[in-house]
Amino acid sequence: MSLALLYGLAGIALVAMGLYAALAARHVLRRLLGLNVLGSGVFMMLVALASRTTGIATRPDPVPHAMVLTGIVVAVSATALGLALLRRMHAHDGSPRLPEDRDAGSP
Amino acid sequence: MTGSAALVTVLVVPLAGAVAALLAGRRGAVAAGLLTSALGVAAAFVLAGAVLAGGMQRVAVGGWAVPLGIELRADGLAAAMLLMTAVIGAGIAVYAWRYFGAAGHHDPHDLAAGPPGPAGKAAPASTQWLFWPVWLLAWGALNALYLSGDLFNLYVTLELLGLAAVALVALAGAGAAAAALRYLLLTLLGSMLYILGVELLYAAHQTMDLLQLRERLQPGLSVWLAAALMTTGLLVKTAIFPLHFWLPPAHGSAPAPVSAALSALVVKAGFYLLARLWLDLFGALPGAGVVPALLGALGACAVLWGGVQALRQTRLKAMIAYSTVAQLGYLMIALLLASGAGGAAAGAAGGAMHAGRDPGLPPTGGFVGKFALVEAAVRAGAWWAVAVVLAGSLLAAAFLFHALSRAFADAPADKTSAEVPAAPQLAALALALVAVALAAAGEPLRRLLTVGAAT
Repeated sequence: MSLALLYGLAGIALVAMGLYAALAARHVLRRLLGLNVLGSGVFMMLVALASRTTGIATRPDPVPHAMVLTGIVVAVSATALGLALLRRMHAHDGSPRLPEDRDAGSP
Repeated sequence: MTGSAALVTVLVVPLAGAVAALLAGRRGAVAAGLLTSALGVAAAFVLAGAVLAGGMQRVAVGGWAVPLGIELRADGLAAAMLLMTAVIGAGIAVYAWRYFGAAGHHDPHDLAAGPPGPAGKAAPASTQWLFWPVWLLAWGALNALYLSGDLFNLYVTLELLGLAAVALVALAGAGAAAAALRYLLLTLLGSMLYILGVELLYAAHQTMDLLQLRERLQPGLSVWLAAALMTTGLLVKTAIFPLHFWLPPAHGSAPAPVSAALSALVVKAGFYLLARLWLDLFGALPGAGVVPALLGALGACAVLWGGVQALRQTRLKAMIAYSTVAQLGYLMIALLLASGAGGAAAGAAGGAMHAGRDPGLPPTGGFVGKFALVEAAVRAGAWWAVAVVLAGSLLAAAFLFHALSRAFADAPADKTSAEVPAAPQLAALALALVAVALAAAGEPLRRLLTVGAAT
């Protein structure tokens, strides 16, 4: 198994875990973390598909790397906004969950 | 001014205006916002003129050619969308100028005499001026989205637009934080699904550029998976029927100029991208006709469901939010008709977009666009579409008259009409006149829309 394939498979696993957490969790912090894990998986898959071992080029493709850098910047900004809104909602409503998730006691 | 200079100006003006409005602070933000709106409208007109005269305009950013660099392109559809956005944005700016200007006013659009909704209180006055930088940022993101020629740049502009839109919702105060947070979580999820699809396309074709992809696209499992992921992500962002649930709370709790901007412009960005993908890129795939049919069916459900829900609302803004859900349904029907009939129906899709641009309020009622939609449906022999559009119009008429009857009959004596400043009314009137003028200017607009069309 090549290193790139290992990265790709790990990326797919992270995407699946992150997607599950983003959809199933009720605590907004967990959902934000899930989205970040999902993003990390996407970026790992990008890094994996940048590797080139056959043909004329053996050095990695720089375009996906540039996209990962841009994606990280976007993800950090979005997470910051999400955390700020979560703090604000918690201060106003007294709950870290969205209104539709506030009845039961699961995480 | 050359076409490419106009293209860059259209992009730079709102972003520079956003920075200027932020630096100008509470006192200067309004002036910066209004000046930016005027400049932006002028630049959009110059660009549309250049596209009409000289065809597609292109700028390779930083001098790097595709596929390594990013190319900005303005074809007919992009120029038309830029122009619409600039004109509607100017209307929103004039409206917001008066709306936020009158301190401690009562929201003239809440018809219900009952208690305000969960976030019904107006935004705290100390942060209201932040509307200007955030709105100009959203406008800049919209312009960048229309001009982007590659899939990854589209992702970045979608995220920029999403973050600005969430901030706009959050401006309503702490009570709107939950609605803004729900919107943020869903828009991020939609972006992630979209970028996963982009990644698959890049892995298979080694390019992100839309024009290059169109030439290289090889039908296969990975392309279909990519198309499914990207479409699902965009459906979440566009609030198409089964995935529309986040829209009413987010739009319903926002201040009136914000919900106008969100309904008329922000959600349409996702639709614009869907149209680009399915008319330009994936339309050539064998068997691709199924997907627009599916989207059209979702659109029909959205028209009926949104209409019925709008009828059941007691607050005007909640009603408009559901009417937005219905309007988006019309757009999906237009997408189906455009994909079936090819280039001839591109004008109809454009026409229906104007219908969507009008937030469904009198006096135009989106009549021009709906008429174009029905005309295209009759020509394509899609009688179910005619039936849905007519049923939707009937529902729209029902909820509008419901609201108007309240406005005329239930107005308490102390709520005098003097509470509504003149400028918002003028802005609404001007937008209505623009919608009427579109009927007259249909021909140049149709010509503009055909510039660079794929079919």
